[in-house]
Amino acid sequence: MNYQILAPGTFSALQVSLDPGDKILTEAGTMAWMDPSIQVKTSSGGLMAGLRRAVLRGDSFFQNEYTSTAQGGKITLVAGQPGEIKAMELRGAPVILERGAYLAHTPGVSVDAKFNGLKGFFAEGLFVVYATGEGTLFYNAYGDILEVDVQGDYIVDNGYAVAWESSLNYTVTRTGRKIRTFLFGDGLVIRFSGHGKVWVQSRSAFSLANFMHPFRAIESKNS
Amino acid sequence: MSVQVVSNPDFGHLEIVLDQGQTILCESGAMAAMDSDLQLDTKMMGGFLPALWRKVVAGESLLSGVYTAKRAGSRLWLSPPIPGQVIAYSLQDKPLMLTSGSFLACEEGVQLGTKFGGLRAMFSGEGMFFIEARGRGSLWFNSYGAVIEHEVNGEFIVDTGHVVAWEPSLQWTVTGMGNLFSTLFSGEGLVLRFSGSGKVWLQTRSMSGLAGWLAGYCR
Amino acid sequence: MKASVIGTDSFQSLHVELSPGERFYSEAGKMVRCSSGVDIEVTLQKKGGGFMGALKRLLSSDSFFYSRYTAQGTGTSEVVIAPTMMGNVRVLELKGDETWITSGGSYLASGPEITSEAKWQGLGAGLLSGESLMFVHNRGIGFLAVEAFGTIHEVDVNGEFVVDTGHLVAFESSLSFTVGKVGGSWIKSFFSGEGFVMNFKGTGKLLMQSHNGSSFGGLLGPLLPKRRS
Repeated sequence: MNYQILAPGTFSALQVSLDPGDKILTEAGTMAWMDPSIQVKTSSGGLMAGLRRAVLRGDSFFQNEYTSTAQGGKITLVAGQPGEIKAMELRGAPVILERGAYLAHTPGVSVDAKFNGLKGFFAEGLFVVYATGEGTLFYNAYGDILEVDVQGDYIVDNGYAVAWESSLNYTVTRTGRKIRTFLFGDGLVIRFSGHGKVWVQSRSAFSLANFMHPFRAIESKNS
Repeated sequence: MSVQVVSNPDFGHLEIVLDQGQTILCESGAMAAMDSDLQLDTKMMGGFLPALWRKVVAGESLLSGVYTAKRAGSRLWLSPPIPGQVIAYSLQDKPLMLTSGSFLACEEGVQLGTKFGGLRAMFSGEGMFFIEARGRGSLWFNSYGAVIEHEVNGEFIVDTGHVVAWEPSLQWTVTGMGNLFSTLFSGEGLVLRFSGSGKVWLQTRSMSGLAGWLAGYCR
Repeated sequence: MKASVIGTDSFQSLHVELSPGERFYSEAGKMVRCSSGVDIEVTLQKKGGGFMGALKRLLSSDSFFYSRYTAQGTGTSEVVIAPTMMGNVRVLELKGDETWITSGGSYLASGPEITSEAKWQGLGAGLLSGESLMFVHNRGIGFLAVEAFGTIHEVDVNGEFVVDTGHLVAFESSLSFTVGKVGGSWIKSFFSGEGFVMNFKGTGKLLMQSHNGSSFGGLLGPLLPKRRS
């Protein structure tokens, strides 16, 4: 298996070449285009299922497994959000990803979903994906990805943390001292401490969701 | 007439300078800014019935904007509603197929028509009709995301939301993905299956993909 | 204090360096990251603010609240502020003798001596244009940062110039404007999908954005889940 990032930058895409016997696993709905030799197997299994059911309003809790019947069969995978796609080589030490940051992985990697937020604080919890094992993990961000080497303390708004190494301690806390509420959506920050890398994205999904609110249709009372 | 595509690939749009009497046609609502003495007219592309057809079935606007300069050096900016790439294409009698929403602007001499995507396309949610551009002249179309040009030789499969345009030398059908289970649950919906040889313009993001991601953050 | 633009063209952000004791304001909820010594407070008040000011700001599509960032400690602190949409950020250095008017939520951040006051943009113009009822008038000495959807174009207006309401970012108060139709007639203006535009007159600088948030929202909105309220 080898891969290439097409159109690097804002609208990057992941192109994977598969030989017979190779396999790439991805969440449902990420295939953009592919050669006819590519075969798909859809399964409801996997631990991602729990995350999907619990968090994403039952959108899709299926995982797709792609293989090729010919040498060098190509498939292109993309994320929903505009932003960078990057690959990370895992060698045992777990990496923690924000839920929207997971794109795909090779068979040696395992992914698991966890809730990590302030319990009872609606919609502001921190749902994260633990990735561990040995292999390649593909992740994406909303915006550009900045790598921050944390030595000591660092604060990142909940909406902007993409991924971080498990060697870092982190706590989810509230900002500000006066009027801090759900009114403006950034009630929560992640405080990192220790040594390790944090990847930060340059835009927030919560911020875009707030902007889009008035453009959504209103649910009728009868339905 | 000078038409420049600027801010590609992320925010492609057109910076236009018209000479006296020159005209450019554009998608409804595309004007971002202009010199105040440009004259605006509206036109039903291809006449009333084709325009009405495109409005009803393809969700395109009924009328296109037609901007004409009264003096030399009139400036006009045209923008698509979504971020992405704008492609300039010179149409020389050979038609070009566009997915609905991809048309941005054209010179006089280009006509737009409508093609039915087949019954299955009705369920894809991506628009079941495609636009066929014919005639001679410059045409500008836009994508959501970066554009990848791909030469098809044989067969090629694309999620319907990732197609921007293709040459009609290609045969195409709208089909499901893999077996019935995968069609229903793979999250891919329907795909366009191309065969033959010709060029297809692909986009690296889709509006339904964007909506699917953002839905997880909506309250 | 040093305010600068960082990031690639598509995802620019505002980077502010603060010495101990220095402070600045941003629209609430826009912070990405900061040094651990920065004190963040959410407030209604800013120069030219107060409760009525906040109410008026709501009608300008800006946030009700400001965030105030104050550097504590001994060293230099940094704060990064991000816009809502993908696109450019522009930092304007105000010298005290000019007023920049920001529209439709394009105010991002400003130095402590900048007053930002929401004002009616003219009789019914807001209602008719489908954009905000208020524009924010920014003046004073210090930096003013604005955010845009897409690329920012700076236009030197000298005479007359037409901008679609959804593409306006900010303009100097030396320019006057009326809300009106494009070209020939109201009918043409509506059927061409343009509706209302702003006709500017006079001499001054104007910032416009390549993309229109309302057009984008209109396309994406129907694809999102329905809202309860």
